[in-house]
Amino acid sequence: MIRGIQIVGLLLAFAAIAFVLYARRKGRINGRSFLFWVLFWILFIVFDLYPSIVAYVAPVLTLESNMYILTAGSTLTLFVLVFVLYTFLSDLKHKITTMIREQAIIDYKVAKMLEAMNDDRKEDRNSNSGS
Amino acid sequence: MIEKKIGIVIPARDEEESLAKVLDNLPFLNPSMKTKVFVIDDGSEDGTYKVARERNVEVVRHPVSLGVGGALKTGYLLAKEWGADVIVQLDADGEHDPKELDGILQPVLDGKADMVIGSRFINGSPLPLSLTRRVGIRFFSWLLNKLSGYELTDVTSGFRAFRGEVLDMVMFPSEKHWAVEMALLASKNKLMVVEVPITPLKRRSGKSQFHEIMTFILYPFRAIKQIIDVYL
Repeated sequence: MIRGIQIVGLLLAFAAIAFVLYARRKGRINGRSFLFWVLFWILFIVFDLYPSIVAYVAPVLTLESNMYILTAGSTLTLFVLVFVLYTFLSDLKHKITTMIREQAIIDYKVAKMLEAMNDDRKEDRNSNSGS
Repeated sequence: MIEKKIGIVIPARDEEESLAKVLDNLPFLNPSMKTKVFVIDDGSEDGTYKVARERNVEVVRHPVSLGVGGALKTGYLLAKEWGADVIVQLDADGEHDPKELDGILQPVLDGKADMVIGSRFINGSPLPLSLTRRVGIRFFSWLLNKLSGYELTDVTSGFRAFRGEVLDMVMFPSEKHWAVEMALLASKNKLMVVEVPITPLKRRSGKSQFHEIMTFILYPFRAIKQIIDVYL
């Protein structure tokens, strides 16, 4: 018999899969990420519907109860995800910083060039009016 | 006699009042030197850009703030592109006396140092710094000395000069805590670093980066991260 918490888990998983599909359709995630997250949530549904599967894994990992393995597994997954997110954000920050700097330098050089051109024009005008 | 090119880098953010005074007080260096001042307006919301543009200096504007380290990096790159033999940096907030530029430059020009740091602690200079900040500076200087073998008293000082040739060796990869990282990279590359005494002036206007409580709290953690980044 399905318990209340399992229904909540199922609803959460379906909502997450819907969100992943939506994100993919909008082009916010690439194909690899899409596959990873869909598989992740399918696995979640399997564990949610058949929690007894965990009982086969618990002795292998020398954990005393099913609950321990679920808690430890979730925590470790969260750590990995936070780390992946941290690396991704650091990389993104570095790229944005580099872009801002390069743009600022380009703007500075363009402004200098325009100034020099204006000066040249002024000089030309002065020399033309003088002659 | 070969003319030395001196690139002066001044990072500035919301410092319109003090920047004007700093730029107006920059001394005429030795005539045998060719100087160019690079002001990096780091996403200011006041008239910093305008103030700099009104003077005969090079001004680069970051559309958003990249922090002091980020602004310095932009300035260094431009100074290098210009072919600076020596790059010197000072703050735009008026805490560094432009009249002390000669003292900072001299050891590099004489070939006695690859990098010179202006120390606020040598000669018991009067310090307008809070106790916590002073303790932080002392701690990081001590830690860096242990790691590098240098005997520095003010590793976080923003008044410094270095040879243009060593820029690639000391170019810090991150934007935060550039001072600590720069000194560590100098040590890693076995550069000669010396300190000269400077007298810090009272900030004329604007706000220190330490006014943000999170910046203050995270400072030690970030600085330790920089140490790990350089050595690992």
